[in-house]
Amino acid sequence: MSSSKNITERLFSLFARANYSYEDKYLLQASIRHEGSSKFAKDNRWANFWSVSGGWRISSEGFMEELDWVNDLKVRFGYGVTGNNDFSASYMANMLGSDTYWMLPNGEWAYSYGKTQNVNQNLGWEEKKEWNLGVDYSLFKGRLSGKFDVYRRKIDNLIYSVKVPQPPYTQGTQWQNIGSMESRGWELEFSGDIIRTNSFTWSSDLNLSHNKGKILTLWGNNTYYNGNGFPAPGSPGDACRMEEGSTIGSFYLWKFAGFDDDGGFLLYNKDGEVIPAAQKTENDKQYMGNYTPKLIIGWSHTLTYKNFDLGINLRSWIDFDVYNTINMYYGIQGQGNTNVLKDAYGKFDHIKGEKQICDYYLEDGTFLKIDALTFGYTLNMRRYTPWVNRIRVYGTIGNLATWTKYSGVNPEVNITGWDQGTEKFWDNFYPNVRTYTLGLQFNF
Amino acid sequence: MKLINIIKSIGAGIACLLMTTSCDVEPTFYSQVVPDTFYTSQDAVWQRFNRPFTHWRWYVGHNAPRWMLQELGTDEFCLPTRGSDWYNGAVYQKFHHQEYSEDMAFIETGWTNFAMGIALSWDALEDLENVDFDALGFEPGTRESMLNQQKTLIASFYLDGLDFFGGVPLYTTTQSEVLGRSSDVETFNFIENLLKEALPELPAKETLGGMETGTPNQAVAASLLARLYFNAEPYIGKSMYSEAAQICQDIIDGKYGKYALDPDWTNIFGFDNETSTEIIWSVPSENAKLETDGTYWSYMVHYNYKNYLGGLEGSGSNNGIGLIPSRDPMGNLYTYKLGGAYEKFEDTDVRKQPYVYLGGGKYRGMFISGLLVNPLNPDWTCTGSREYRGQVITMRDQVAYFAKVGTADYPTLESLPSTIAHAEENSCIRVTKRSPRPNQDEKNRKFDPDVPIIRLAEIYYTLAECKMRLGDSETAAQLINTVRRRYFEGGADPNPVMAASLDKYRMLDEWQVEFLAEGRRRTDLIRWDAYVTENWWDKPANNNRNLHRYPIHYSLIGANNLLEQNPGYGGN
Repeated sequence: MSSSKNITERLFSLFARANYSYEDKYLLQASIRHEGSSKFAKDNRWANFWSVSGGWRISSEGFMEELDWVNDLKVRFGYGVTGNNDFSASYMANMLGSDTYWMLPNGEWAYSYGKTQNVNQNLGWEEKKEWNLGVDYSLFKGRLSGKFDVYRRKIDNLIYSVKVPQPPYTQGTQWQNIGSMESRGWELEFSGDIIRTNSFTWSSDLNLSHNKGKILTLWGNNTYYNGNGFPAPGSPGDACRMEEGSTIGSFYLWKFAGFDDDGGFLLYNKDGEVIPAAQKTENDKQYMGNYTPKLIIGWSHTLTYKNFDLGINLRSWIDFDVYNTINMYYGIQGQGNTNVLKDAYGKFDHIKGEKQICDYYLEDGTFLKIDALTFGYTLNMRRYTPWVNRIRVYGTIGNLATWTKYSGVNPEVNITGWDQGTEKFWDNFYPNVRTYTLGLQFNF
Repeated sequence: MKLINIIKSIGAGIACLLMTTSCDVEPTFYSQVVPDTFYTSQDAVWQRFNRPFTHWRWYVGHNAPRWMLQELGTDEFCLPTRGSDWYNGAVYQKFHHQEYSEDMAFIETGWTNFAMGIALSWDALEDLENVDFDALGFEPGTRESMLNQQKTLIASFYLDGLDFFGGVPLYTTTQSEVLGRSSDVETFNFIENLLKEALPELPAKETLGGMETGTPNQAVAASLLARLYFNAEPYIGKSMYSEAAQICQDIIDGKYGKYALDPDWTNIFGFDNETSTEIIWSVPSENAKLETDGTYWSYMVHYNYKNYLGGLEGSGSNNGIGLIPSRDPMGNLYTYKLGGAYEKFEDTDVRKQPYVYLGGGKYRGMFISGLLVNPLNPDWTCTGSREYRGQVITMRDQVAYFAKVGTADYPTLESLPSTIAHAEENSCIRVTKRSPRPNQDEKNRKFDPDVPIIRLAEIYYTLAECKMRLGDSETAAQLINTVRRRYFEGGADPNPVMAASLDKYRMLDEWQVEFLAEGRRRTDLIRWDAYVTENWWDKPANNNRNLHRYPIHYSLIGANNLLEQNPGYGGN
């Protein structure tokens, strides 16, 4: 039996903020934050983060008075720096951990002790620097409102657990500040009361967003990092790589060139020649595809008619790629003691060779989902009893429908980070279930 | 808000910030040990010193990859695909066909394991530099003794690196910049120097049969030096058989301590083998203390073999690895010069019988072969789980789908293919040599056997091969026969080595029979240039000498861009 208690992590933060508003027309805000974290080495613990922002409510200006359909119009600009120390607290301490027993000179068995991590005395805060230009608006007596934002985020001193050579390092990985990356994008929001009558209302919210990112610089000994490794059986390799200038969201794969007569994979080498998969080398891989959608849309509706209400949520990701590991691992006959997909004897019947981590399994993931549909009826109880105000009876269907050409289970994969975009049967993999909920809501 | 108020507020804010900057954000430790408070006793110093040794124990005695790299892809062992078991991305089929590639997991571990050992050794020494040995009451010279032990250990790690990969980065401290690879010769010289520096300073074993604890003494450094010189030809293209012979002769003559061949081979591998007179270096192991399994039990032994040992607990296994078969599906012996290790053993060899635990730490036999009914306890059987579900299975020295004979695909015995892809659950003889296991009624003796890493017989065989290569086959034959004698009742060896007929193939057979499953076959084949030039079962010669070295895993090059890939791999 063993027990343990982790190191105490300490984060200390001081925060000051100043707001200035002139007639609610000209707005200024500034803040500064002085932060210290026990996770970093002594000399790198403290850092200052700050932000400034300004706004101009154009609608409050005299020259706007005539445009009475404009209720509110504001332009905003902001710049800020925030810090990130997202890694294990035990990391920065130079600690000894036990391995196994070994015999001491006196004949007793005792644990051996050695370093448990490669402390990086130079590790410092990761900093996110973001500017943002936005417009808030509210028109036609508030029946149409929303905002528009454009931003650029630059992340410096990216903190990442890097594979390092042993020796000189005693352990195989180390947290390092490895470089910088940027992401740019925009977000657009509309919110409207489309119909507003006594008995019938229809309101709708629409969000559109777009983002793309790239690696700006990498420091240190490594000119690239590999990620998104696929597991056994077969351990076919890593599907992502980052290096200077690489696009966040792209895959790093062998390029599929067809099948040979025996059903074995053919790939392209770096000179563009077709080779059997057995001759592939790591140098033949290339960047392709992108799992960051060109456009992400969320659209919700609420309709009411007298005591009835209806809610619909729609979600859509447009133009992005998903790596389908299900077809890759379970779509080939006779490779190991697992069940396979029906497709292994259907559309993949011709594949006889060992699976390859190539774009053959890369698919367009574009989808439209009806996330949830809720239908309810509200009964006013006042007239029957003083104890209950009203009761709402409702039914919800979750995961109602998905339209997609993607052939895996769910194209809505993790797209956060540089090594994702993959439907992983080995990680949090559950079938999509449609749920039906019936409910009663009491208001007292 | 008035301007003056704004300025006041800002001023107050800044003052607060400055005042509290000294706030303490030191972490607090609970379960972890911090070096500053650790070295309070001699024991603590030894515990820190031992860390590289526990890594070494894991690397050579417990973890599979090193053994796999030395045994798969040779004429000794294979891991065939057994029906729907053991396909695993064809990686073991590739090993058997020597189709090594830069993305194989064992190849990555093959590098990180030896290299990490080097880092841990230097790191332990560097940590102990700041400890006041006198204050802790250590005898003078302890620090120097520690240094020499670690040097020997480091040399053993580097020797593996050179053997698997050729020249590797050479570190003498963990405070170094990241380095690229040194040349083969530089690596060779580096190892030689470490061993030559350490050897005279290490203690020589004074008591014959004294207990071995894994601590390297003089004979360990000498044996490692012998291994280095013995393989100098493949390592650096220079034959140094005379130098190797001299060291071996000195070890046998007792110059580096007291050792003797053990008359009973089960003492060498058995349950009390820490006192075998033959052991020069071994990984210690003891039930409930430091349980070291010899690396291959779980890969080798049939799923239900534990029942043959009376249901021995904690001995489940995965039925994979077996000996390269000696016979074709019809039962005829293959005519390949190499492979088929089981039939290389004489029928009267005491090792060539099914393993049986006799009780009280005694056992006989080294193989899992034939009908698996325990002769001392006929209720203890190993039954099948796949093709022969529920039946007592017979381990065969053959590979084929015997259970499918009579089906449309395989109407007759003659129609059966025999390849690495066509095995059943009972294909291939298995070996229980390292870390043999007791029956359930003596389960507390499990893992009591230490794992021998260097034993005196190796020195005899090394000397024999050197003598043979230097033209003295007479002495060579004598040396080998001295060892062989113990395997036959009354020493009646039916097929002793004869000087006149001792050739490359007989020498390789002798290495195989004596050192089967001890994780050295690849090195022996390469020294005889037989690794890629010879045929054996389902493995035609490919004559690609680049395969004498493994590739460097692509992720290691990713982690250290200075590493250059070996010729013949990764587009080189």
